[in-house]
Amino acid sequence: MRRQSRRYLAVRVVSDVAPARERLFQDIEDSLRRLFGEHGVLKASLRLIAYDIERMIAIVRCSDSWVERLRATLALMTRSDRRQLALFIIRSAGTVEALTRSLSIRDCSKK
Amino acid sequence: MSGIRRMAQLAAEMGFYLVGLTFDSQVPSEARLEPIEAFEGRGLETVSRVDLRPKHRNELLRSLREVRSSFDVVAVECRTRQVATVAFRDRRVDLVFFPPDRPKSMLGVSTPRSMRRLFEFNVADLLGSDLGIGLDLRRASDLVSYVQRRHLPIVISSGATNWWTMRAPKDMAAVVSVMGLEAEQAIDSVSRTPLSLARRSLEKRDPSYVSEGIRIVRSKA
Repeated sequence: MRRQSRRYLAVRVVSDVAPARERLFQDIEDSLRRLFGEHGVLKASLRLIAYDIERMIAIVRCSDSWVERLRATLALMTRSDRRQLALFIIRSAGTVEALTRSLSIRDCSKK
Repeated sequence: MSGIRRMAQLAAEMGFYLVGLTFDSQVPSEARLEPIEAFEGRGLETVSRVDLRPKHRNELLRSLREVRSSFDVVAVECRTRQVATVAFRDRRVDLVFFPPDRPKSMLGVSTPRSMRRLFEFNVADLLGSDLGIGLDLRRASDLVSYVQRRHLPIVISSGATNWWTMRAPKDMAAVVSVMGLEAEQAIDSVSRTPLSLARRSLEKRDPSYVSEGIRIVRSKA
């Protein structure tokens, strides 16, 4: 069986205080669920790959065919971790290496 | 950092090239300078805009007479059929939009058959609740499918009043695309269409501009 094609997105988190890694991912997934349902969450194959808290940039992986729907989901989010925020995609790539190289992301949240 | 400066910084970061700044019609031109400078300081072009919310036809005509020359872009909120009929046909109006609480059934009634003005959709209307699910989203979706069905020219705006309601152009296009607008039209509605509107408005600032298609080539010596 052919492996599902994926896309890696660098998401800029704009907020006064950076939301926690788990909370941010949970909130994105919840928004996706509310917009496209449980089936949508499954099809999107969403995963938070890295999160640079200092630069407030997250790298999210999703199914190639779900990029536009994920964009819409992120655009309709106004809160995470009970704080106001805005999310927008700054870059996307086919591999995580290409994306991290272009942004020089450090995954601070794992420290 | 002040709210305006933060919005300017964010707009530059989001990849905007030109922004429309909405002012109250009573705000004097000197008071408009600070926000304009904040955005232009970030390398963004600006156009000044006013949103008119008339209750009836006569109020709209009076307001248009008062504000047209002071702002680059004039947008009109259509609450009644009377207002919509004038707004969609009057040359002094650049954009028309419906209030977010407008019932779906009134859409077809309000929009005249021969529509020459641009129709605007504000993404911020969907951000009132935590996620624009339910009635807001359904209403917006109906609006988009109506626009699509009638091939109306549409402009997608963020309608942002603060930094957390600002959205990147491609993300706004994705929102309307998810609602059923064709991808190409969605991209045009955040790029080509608003840019041509702004260019037309900026042309009017030129001293040689007289009217649409008329300009002074050589002044009387």
